[in-house]
Amino acid sequence: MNVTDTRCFHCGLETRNPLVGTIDGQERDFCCSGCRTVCEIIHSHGLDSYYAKRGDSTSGRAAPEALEFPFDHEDFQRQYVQMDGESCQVSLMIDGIHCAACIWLIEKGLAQQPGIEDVQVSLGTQRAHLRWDPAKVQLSALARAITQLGYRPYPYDASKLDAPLKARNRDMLLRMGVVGLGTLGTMYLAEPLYFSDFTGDEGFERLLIWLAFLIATPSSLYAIMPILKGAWSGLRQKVINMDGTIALGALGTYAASVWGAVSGGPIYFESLTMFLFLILAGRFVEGAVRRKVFSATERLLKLEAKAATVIQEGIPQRVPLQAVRVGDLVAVKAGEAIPVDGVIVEGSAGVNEAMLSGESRPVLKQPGDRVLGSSVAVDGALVVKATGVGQETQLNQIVRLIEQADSHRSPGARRIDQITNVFGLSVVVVAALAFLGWSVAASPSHAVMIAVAVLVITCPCALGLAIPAANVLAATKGVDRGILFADGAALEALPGVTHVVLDKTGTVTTGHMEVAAVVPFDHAESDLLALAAALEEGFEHPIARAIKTLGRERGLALPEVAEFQVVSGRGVLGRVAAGKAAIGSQALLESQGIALPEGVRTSADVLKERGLTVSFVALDGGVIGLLGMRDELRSDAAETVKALQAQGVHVTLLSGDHRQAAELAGKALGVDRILSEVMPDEKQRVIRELQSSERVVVMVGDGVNDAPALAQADVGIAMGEGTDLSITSAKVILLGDRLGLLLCALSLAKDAQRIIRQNLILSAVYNALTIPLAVAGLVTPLFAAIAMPLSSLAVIGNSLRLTRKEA
Amino acid sequence: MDILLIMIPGCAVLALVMLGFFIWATKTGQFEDMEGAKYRILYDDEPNP
Repeated sequence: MNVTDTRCFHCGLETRNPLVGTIDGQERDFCCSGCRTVCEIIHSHGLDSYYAKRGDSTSGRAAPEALEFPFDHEDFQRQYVQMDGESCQVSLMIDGIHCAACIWLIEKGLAQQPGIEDVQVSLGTQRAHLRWDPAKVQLSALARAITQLGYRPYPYDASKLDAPLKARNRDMLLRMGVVGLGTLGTMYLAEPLYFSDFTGDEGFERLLIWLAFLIATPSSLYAIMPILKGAWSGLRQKVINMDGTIALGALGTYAASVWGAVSGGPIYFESLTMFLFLILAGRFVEGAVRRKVFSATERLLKLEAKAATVIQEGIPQRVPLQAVRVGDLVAVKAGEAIPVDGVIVEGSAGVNEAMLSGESRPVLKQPGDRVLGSSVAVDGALVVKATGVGQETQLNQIVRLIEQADSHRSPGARRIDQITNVFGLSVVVVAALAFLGWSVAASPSHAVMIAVAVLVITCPCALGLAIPAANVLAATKGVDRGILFADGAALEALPGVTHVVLDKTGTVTTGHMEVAAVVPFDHAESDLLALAAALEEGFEHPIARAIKTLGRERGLALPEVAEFQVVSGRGVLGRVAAGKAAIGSQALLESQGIALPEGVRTSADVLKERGLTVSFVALDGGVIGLLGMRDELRSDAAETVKALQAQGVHVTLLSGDHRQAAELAGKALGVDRILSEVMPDEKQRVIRELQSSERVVVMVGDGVNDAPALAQADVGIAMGEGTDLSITSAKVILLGDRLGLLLCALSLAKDAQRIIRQNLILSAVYNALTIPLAVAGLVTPLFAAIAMPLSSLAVIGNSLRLTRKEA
Repeated sequence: MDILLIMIPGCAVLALVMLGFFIWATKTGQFEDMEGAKYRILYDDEPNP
């Protein structure tokens, strides 16, 4: 890009061909007509102060991590970049892609970079694959180009995360396609065999039969391999699983057809290939959905995108997290997550440990204090000496806890196993009885034919498709709605739920604060608010946002503030025309030597009893008012709780907060039970206690400390805004910020279970009708050829009703 | 009916070609991104300098 870039007046994006618009008599540059229109609207409403107020939107905060990711560091290059002759290749996850135009922009934008050889961006997976010449351009320059386009690149290790799933899907597609072609061939051949008269041309009849054999044998063999493998692993555990029943049916059909080809009896090659094709098609779609869910989860986690700034010989350097060693000095900027466990060497800051303790307010940490990995330094810069990296960090300990709780299987999955096991066994028993009966009544050779007919006609396709078809379609529909079913077992367990446990902060509340009470002393309420909003103007923590929002809503004119001073974790000091001003905690005022009269203390206690967080506002050495802040409930939380209770579900609110706050929220929601001051490790125990009395427990949460409880619950549901760990341990993830999606997930699971039940009944009716016919020796080849596909199609058609219903 | 003696080998050859094409398509990742492809026709391609 050699042309000088101008910045859009409205959005600040760099643009090469600016659109000029006249705003307030001045010529301004815009990147597009959309921005110009927005700016004109803002101007026509007299809101020009917006442009003055917003300032430079990027200053003062830590720049996006991706920009600074050490893409050229050798540890990174070794892990992610593949050399291919003269050129390098890498896969990047790109944040911010939402439509085809984004793909176009990135591909064209990067193609203009020198040294780039190939760019491919996939809309489905939101990943970019780059090939470039390392002699001409560095990866960091390409990453910067992507960032300039407005997207955020993250390093991404394809070989580790996605490649196995991708390879599996490709393999399944290949097998499906091959047996699909086989189906085509055998069906063409079957048609004349059923409907033509070969009298005088028996040679051709034999030819067609053996051709069908030639097509069906290799294609079916190729298709059935993964099923045989699954059946074998089931047999080793002495159960006939789903694969077992499918293999039994397929092998029986094949044996009967070969016998028919040899002896001049009926053949079923076309039924066999079609049956395998349908089964594999089901599995392919299932795999595609799973990969979609997986990549959506992965994007939420940005699993690999972690970097740290290490100070080496006085010079800060960005390195990948894997390159940080114990004893390294790690620099942490304000607003950044602390990447390692460690001890503070320099600086002090309010540290938010919400990810670990659930406590939403920052704790002041000073030199010598311990800090934990993944907590956030809210308002100050720190230098931390690493004491724990990678495996040793606190987070990893919690991960291990989850793995333990995860190892037990859901009751739903066990029930399905039992059904298939009973079905498989009973088919074998019926076939054996039929063989015995007919051996006595007729000849053993006739008895073999009957037994095989039983195996053939007891089409497990209906059963083999009944559950996966419904589950896959429900999961697909879930993805459209913003519900990720990471585990099929969740769909089976959800409808049986008797208890829902909701975490408070971030789950039933938005995690954003709201001003709930304003108590002025000897001053007008608007003056108090204006002063508070002016002091908090430049800050972005939840309390500041709440105050600023209220100030904006009231349209207050803010006084000028000078001499800003941040007291870490406590509040802000400044100077206005009327004197020195302060806003913050009681501790801040005490440290400034501001007296708290008895009246102020009682008012503060009243607010605290209402479950509010109290901020004190002082002016010129005296307290002029109090602000009570509440963590806002999600707008649809109460509605959701009521709807759950209407379905007979017992709702519990679980919170690590103090009693008043929990009870306030609980009463507003109308939950059945409130558990407050629950320590992180106790959450899991609470769930286990509920489960011990035969209850099916759904846990909804978002914090790291919820993770063990999420894994322990029959179904753990994480909010999509939640922490990495809660997302990995949950079986269902709700994207977006609506708790109401929980109801949607529940009804989807119920629909899926109802469809599954209908499917199972369908296949039971089918078997109840056909098995007696087979045992009686009345199954003709034509009957089998019509009845077998019909049962599969009935099941698939019934399952498709799931996608049609609007929920 | 003797026509079958020509038609059947002919069909077999056709089927094998189809099979080969399908395997090639799968192996080269033609089915990887089913969403993006339909939008690509809308891109205005400028001739690359």
